[in-house]
Amino acid sequence: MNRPLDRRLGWTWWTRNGSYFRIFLREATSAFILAEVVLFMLLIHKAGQDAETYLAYRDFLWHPLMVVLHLVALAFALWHTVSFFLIAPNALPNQVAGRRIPAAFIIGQQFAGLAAVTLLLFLWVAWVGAT
Amino acid sequence: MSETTIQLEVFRYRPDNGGPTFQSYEVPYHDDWVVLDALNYVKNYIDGSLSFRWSCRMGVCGSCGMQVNGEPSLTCAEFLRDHMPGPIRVEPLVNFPVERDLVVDINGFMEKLDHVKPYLVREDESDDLSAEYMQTPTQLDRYKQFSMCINCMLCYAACPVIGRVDDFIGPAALALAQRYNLDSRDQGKQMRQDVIFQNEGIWECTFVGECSEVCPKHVDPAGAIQQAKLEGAFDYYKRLLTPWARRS
Repeated sequence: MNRPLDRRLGWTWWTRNGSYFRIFLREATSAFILAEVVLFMLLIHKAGQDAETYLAYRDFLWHPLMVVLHLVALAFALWHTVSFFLIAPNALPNQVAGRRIPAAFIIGQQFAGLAAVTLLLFLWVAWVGAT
Repeated sequence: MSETTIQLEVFRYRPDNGGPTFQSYEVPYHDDWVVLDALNYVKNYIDGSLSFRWSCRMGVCGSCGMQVNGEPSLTCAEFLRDHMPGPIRVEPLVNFPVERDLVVDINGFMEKLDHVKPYLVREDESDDLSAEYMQTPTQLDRYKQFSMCINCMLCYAACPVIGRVDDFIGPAALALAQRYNLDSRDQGKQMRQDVIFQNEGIWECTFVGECSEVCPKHVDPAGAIQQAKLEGAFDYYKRLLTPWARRS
């Protein structure tokens, strides 16, 4: 008698439908985040060298193709952040000290935290620029 | 007046008779028919050799799970009217070995389910069958959602990790483990955690989330697994920082 037929989802699983593809794309956003982190670390490294090296690197970051990369990375980072915030309630216990926590409260708190941190960073950058 | 019909393209596999093929059947269309009704029509009136599993016809037994137009679905809950004008492609659940036609081998799943001890474990187990273990509505609410699983295995067909990692315990079994771990009457958490905290347990899950999307009972296995991950991480750091403490 023949063996049972093997019908597993293979490595091309992410091409099967739109939902899988979006998840694959969401995970792929990490590649852009990594690229931006590397560029930022290089910027810090260049800042420790002479002014000419630093300015040349800064000009490189302003190249139109690099600006496109930054915008794509920003869009992906925002998408990843929002999708992460939206699924966070599923990953947490539904009760704290015996009381149900509404999903909207968990999601809202994350967005409020992001807004507060972003505001603080802007204020800090503005303060550094002014002094 | 001619009767309205719809075409079914059904996966056929007879292990002693060559490789898999698709066979088309023209079945009557009725507004209140589901895909399972159409398959039963084929079995009763067109081709008695077609094999498939079913039992309750009302979304309780979890036997009739198949791929309907590529999506893991309970065929007893999938109306023909939602797929008009057709054709409707019916296949066995993916990620499971196919025994014959639409029948898959579920032994692997049953073994995984057995590993997580999906039942109440009591340290003080006695022969007194009248013993009652009381529970408040709040305690019930902690795990009730995860207790709705009917073991239909649609989540296993939707999970890409199951397709790549043979030993991954999988969504339904892990959700059931979490269901019993959250039950105030249970005392078997430690035994289950030894299984679910392994690499083949919760840590293989990459939170694709399709298991929760296809679940006909809204169990949200993906959520259960993430909650278990959170607990696993806390447990790890607790043991790391307090090595003298007894494992709870």
